[in-house]
Amino acid sequence: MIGPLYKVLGWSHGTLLIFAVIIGFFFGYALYRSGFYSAKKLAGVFYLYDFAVYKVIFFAIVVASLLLWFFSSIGLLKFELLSFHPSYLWSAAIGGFIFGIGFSIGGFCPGTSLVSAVTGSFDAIAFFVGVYLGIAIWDLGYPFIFKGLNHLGKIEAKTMMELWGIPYIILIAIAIVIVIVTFPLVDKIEKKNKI
Amino acid sequence: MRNELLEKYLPLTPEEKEELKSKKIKKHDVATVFLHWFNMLVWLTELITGAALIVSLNYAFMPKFFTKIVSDIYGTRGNIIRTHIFVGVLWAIVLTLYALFGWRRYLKPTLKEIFGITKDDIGWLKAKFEEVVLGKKVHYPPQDAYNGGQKLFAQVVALMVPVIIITGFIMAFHLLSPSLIRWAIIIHFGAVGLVVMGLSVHIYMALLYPPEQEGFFGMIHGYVSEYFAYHHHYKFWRKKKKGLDKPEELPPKKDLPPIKAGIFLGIVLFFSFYLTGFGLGSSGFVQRTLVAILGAFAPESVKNHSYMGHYWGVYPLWNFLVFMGLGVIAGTLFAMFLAHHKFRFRIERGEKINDFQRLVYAVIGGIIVGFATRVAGGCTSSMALSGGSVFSPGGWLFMIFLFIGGYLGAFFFRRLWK
Repeated sequence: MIGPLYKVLGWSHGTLLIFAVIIGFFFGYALYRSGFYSAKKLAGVFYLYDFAVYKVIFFAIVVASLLLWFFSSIGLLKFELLSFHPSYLWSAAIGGFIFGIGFSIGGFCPGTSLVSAVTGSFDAIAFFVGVYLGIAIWDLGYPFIFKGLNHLGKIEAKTMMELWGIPYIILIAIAIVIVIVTFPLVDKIEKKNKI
Repeated sequence: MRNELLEKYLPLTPEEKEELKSKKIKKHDVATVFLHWFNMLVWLTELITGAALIVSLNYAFMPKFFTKIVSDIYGTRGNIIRTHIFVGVLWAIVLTLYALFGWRRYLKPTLKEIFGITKDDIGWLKAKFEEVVLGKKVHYPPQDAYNGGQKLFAQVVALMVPVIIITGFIMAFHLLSPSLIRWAIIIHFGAVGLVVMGLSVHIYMALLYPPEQEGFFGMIHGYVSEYFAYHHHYKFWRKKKKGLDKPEELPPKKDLPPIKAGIFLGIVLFFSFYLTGFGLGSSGFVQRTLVAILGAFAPESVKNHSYMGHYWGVYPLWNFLVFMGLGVIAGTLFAMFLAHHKFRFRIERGEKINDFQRLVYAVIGGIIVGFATRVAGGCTSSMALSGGSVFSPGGWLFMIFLFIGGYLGAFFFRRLWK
């Protein structure tokens, strides 16, 4: 069957939502089994004693992109039908920077705080409440202050393949090289800073 | 008390009988008692509304006046359907929570017991048949916490309840194909019918059959006399007496190594794209639920709001990421119990700050992160993971600056974690 099935087969919205629950189920399972229910483990990437976050994210990206590339190159996936965020470069950079600061203070990101909150961690519950407050500040202040901050630096190209004309697999190969070079490096740093 | 009693099911002397009658033994936990009576209320409501909902003349087994009475109570047919679905969904949620949280303590041992048929269970069924149908005088073999007949009924229930829930969902929410919905109606009806057959015996035994009276009250306060346990459930009594019924503790599993976890997460991400065309996301869950909450107070201003209005759609919660968030909650709980981890309330923090400071910093961090997700248009899941795997320039830029911001923050806030 050619994917994405929701769009190619014309599923109903209800069917999409059922699959959302199933995918979320495995997403939550993966986050939990990665150990991301612990703020100490998550924050470790910034305090140099546990690089699990970095490794899991990078490995997941490599594995997922290899599968996406393979399936679209044998014609089992219509890459152009995938939906993802359009690129607003300034927004992404500024947002990422602020996000990183918040992450290093709070020790969570939204998804992992939800996972941790469910397992009974009060700091995760506090963080999750904070996320609601932060989003509410933006939402309520949007018409007055933040409107000017929204969607800055839009580029037409949705992917780096379009932007630079480099084939998908080459970009994946670069990511793999980054993994091979940096993983032993972070292992060393991790050992040095072990607590 | 004679020691041989613990080894073999023997007739009691009158003194022993009196002694056992005066002692109480715990048969059911509070959770089991609650679940039992919750189930009773659900079945009562669902059977009445369900029977009144059957329109096909081939199946409508209740007389017309019954349907009339029920419709009069509920007002409209729509109300009957809504009640039936609401109670059914509530039931499914309670049973799922019971299965998740009570797996090790309640469900697994119970399933093991009711599906573990022994020679004595067969013997019990045979004896019952001979007694009731052939009118013979019989001697019953010793029984577990549930006797052969109860086990048979429990098996039917355990097998049919998932069938009833799944077919119910298919019918109620018009899932999959129309022909499947038609099949679901028949299977739903048949599965309920099987349970009702057992249910009628179950209710007769509990309410009208004198020897089981103690069992009925046992289901209210949880205790039966030792004499009842000895007489009706000898093997259960012996196990209790020998202290063999404590559930075993399994050692907690370690977290997956990062590479294994990364491969697993990558496969999940790929399937999200392949099945739905969308990647993973988390901050959308918060944004949408927030819009729904604010919208409950001021629907018009939220609908027409210059930012939140985009998230309204048909209804803000009727959304991919909201349902994904629900799945994340379920998956987390499932992972927790598969890893033999215990649910415990806790606060994790560095050693140099106290619990209160940790909570304050967590809220501050949350506010900054929440705000940042709106600036960037997503969080680690949607921007870094999903955007990263399709090599979106915004996604990678987000990730790079996330690490820059993170290391800068770590320089100033290392006191919080060291």
